[in-house]
Amino acid sequence: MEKKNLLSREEGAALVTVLVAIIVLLPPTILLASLALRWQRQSIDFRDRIAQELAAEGVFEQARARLSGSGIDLAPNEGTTFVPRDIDGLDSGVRVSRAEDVVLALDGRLLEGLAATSVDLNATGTDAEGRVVYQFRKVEIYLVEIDVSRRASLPPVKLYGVLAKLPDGSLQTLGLTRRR
Amino acid sequence: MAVRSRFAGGGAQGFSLLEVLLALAITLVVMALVAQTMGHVARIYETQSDLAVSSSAAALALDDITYELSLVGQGLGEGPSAVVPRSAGSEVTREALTLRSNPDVTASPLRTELEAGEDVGIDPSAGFDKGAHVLLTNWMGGGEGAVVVRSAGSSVALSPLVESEAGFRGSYSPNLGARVLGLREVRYFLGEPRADGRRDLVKDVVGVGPRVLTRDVLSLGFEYRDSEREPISLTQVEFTRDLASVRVMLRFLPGDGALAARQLATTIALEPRSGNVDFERQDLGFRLSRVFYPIDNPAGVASRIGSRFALILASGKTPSQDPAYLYTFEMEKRFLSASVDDAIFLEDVRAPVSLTFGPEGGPLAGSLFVAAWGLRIGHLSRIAPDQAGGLSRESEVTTFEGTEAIAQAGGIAFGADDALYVASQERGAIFRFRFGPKGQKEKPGNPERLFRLTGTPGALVEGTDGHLYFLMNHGERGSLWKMAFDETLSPQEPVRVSALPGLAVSLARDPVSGDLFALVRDPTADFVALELGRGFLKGRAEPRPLFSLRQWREGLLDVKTDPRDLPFAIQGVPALPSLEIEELDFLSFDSFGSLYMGCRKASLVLKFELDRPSGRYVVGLAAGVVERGEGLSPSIRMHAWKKRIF
Repeated sequence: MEKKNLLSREEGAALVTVLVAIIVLLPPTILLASLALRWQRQSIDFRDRIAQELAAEGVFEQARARLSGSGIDLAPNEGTTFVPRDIDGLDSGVRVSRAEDVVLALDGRLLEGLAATSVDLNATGTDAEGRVVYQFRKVEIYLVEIDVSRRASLPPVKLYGVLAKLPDGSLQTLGLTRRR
Repeated sequence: MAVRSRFAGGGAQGFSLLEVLLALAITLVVMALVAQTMGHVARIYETQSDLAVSSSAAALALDDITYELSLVGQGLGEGPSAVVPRSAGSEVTREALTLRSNPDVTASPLRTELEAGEDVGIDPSAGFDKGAHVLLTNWMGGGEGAVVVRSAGSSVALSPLVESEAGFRGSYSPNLGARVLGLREVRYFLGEPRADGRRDLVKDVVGVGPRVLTRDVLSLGFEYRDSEREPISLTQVEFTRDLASVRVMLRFLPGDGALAARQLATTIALEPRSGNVDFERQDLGFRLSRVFYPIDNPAGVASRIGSRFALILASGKTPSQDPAYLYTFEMEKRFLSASVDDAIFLEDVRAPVSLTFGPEGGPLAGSLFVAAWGLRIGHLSRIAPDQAGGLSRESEVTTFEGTEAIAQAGGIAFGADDALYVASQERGAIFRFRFGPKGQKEKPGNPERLFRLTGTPGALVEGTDGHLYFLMNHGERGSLWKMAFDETLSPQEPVRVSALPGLAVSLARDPVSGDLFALVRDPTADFVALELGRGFLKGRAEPRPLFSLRQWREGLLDVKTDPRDLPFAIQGVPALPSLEIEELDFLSFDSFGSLYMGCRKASLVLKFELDRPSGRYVVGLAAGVVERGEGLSPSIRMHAWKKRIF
């Protein structure tokens, strides 16, 4: 083995050089790395949030399809939950509840509660052109609550949808509310 | 070796001045290079930091706009403008956007006429507090911001949000269906440009205050599109009901040292925010308006666009022996109109089965073509318009040479190439007759057999898309077929569109809606009129049954207990026809959109007015969800309003 021949004051010079280099280069490296990580985290959060919102909309369509078919049959003030079809990597909860039915009057009034039960839903009138017009129409109201989450560090997306089932059985979306 | 020998020597020999200077020079050069590199790294770091911060801010700003657009119109319902392409009080622009919603779903009709600063009656449960921002609207739509200056439960006093000496811009009274709605208004706009051309993107939530979302914006643009992705003019955005999506484009210059601008863009589809409930009863969709009786063996009804008259094509009592005739009548009786129904006899025509007018704008315009039935040989006849341009007893009738192509014709119609197409039941094929440029003076060329069909083809009509549609039966199973025309107006091989629920009997096009209607005999032997909408033609929807002969007959007996209430046919015909008919043979429309159905056996034609939705009795209904705190179930709030006021 070759013998090292160094001056005593030169021993550890390489170590010092490396340490100095580390001390000088580490802060900017850490800063750049943290910046890159923050940027990446924001991008991933943004992507995941979009995925959550799209998934929530998809689940809402599923609930709508079940309500328009015979998949969900509820009486007023009843509710149910169902497991949505596969949404990869996302946890979701869906609750569909039926509110008290409302009655619309031809003049645009909204009758709820007792007022809604005391009207004759079969009452009709005829206009000058012979059109037969109902005086009142009963509407079933459904609330769809959807909660989609991806991971604990990202707040879940909540979507509330209000659906109306009209006397002819058709469904209409009356409103959608998102919460982030 | 020399260096080692010096070290080995204990350093007694030392370094020469030259060696030290050389080492120093090398060290300085290396240090200079390192310093320069460090400078570059520092600049890159600074630039990247700026880029990251600016890009993040721009992306977050775009995300903020996206989120607010996803909430727009919530709780407002149809009518008020939720997307307004300008900032408060400014002209419309691509660079600013105001978004309105009513997240608490507070709403009330106005009970009294609105005057600025004076109390106006509202629904006490609406709950508008002093200082709340509200939106005023009426049946015409639009919307005007206001602020509650005084609140006393069943009444509020309002002041315009945009101060004006003239008070409110619009008129808001109960007669106009005025409503007051809770308002959350968010505005996005660009600040004044700085020296370097960059501008601040500002979000201003009314009642909360403005804040800068990002500072390095070069331009911001909003584009508005309808459901077909066609752009909507900026001036129309506030008033159209077709707005379906908004495209947002944000150009920004990231950091001070940026070489090139960057752009972010996204498109946001707008969600439905309300429903409509129509109070009209649609199940009595066909109103009988006239009965034509007696009409011997009716074959169809036709009218020329722009004419007041329609005609019924009929055979005599014995179709193979008696001459055919056209029964003409005014489609809509006018006040003091002296016109009377008439009959034009076609002496050389026997057993007609189908009719069509020549294409408008061409040499055959105004001519009526009639296909007459024959076991082996059929005939095509042309009734040319008279000098006045209409069909009358002076019209020239020409019957062309008999041909196998017309034998047992299922239907005739002109195609996009102005040639006459015949669906031949006897030959099981589609034939084409070409006409020369001389039009009325010329007989058609020999029929060309274009396509052989396996099945029995029936009625043929031109759809609004310019292609020909025809019925086909395989035994008792009917279907709709399409014969398309390519860019050179050449007919293409027919393709099956979809099956029909029964034996296909007749086909016609509604000139008002453009939809095809088919008459079928269903498996229960009932005759049903089906609306074949665009969804059906694309194979995505079932045909919509609109009329059932059996149900109509039963309903008729219930409603019209006195047969004298029924309108009946020809003056001087005292006997009321029996409407106890069991079958129908054709369905036709006139150019006003009235529907005719005929029964050969009963010698009558029924004219119906279709109950087209008038839109007069529609009530709007909007809803939203309000969360009442942690752990409490959310509650639905909703409001309704009459959409049209008379």
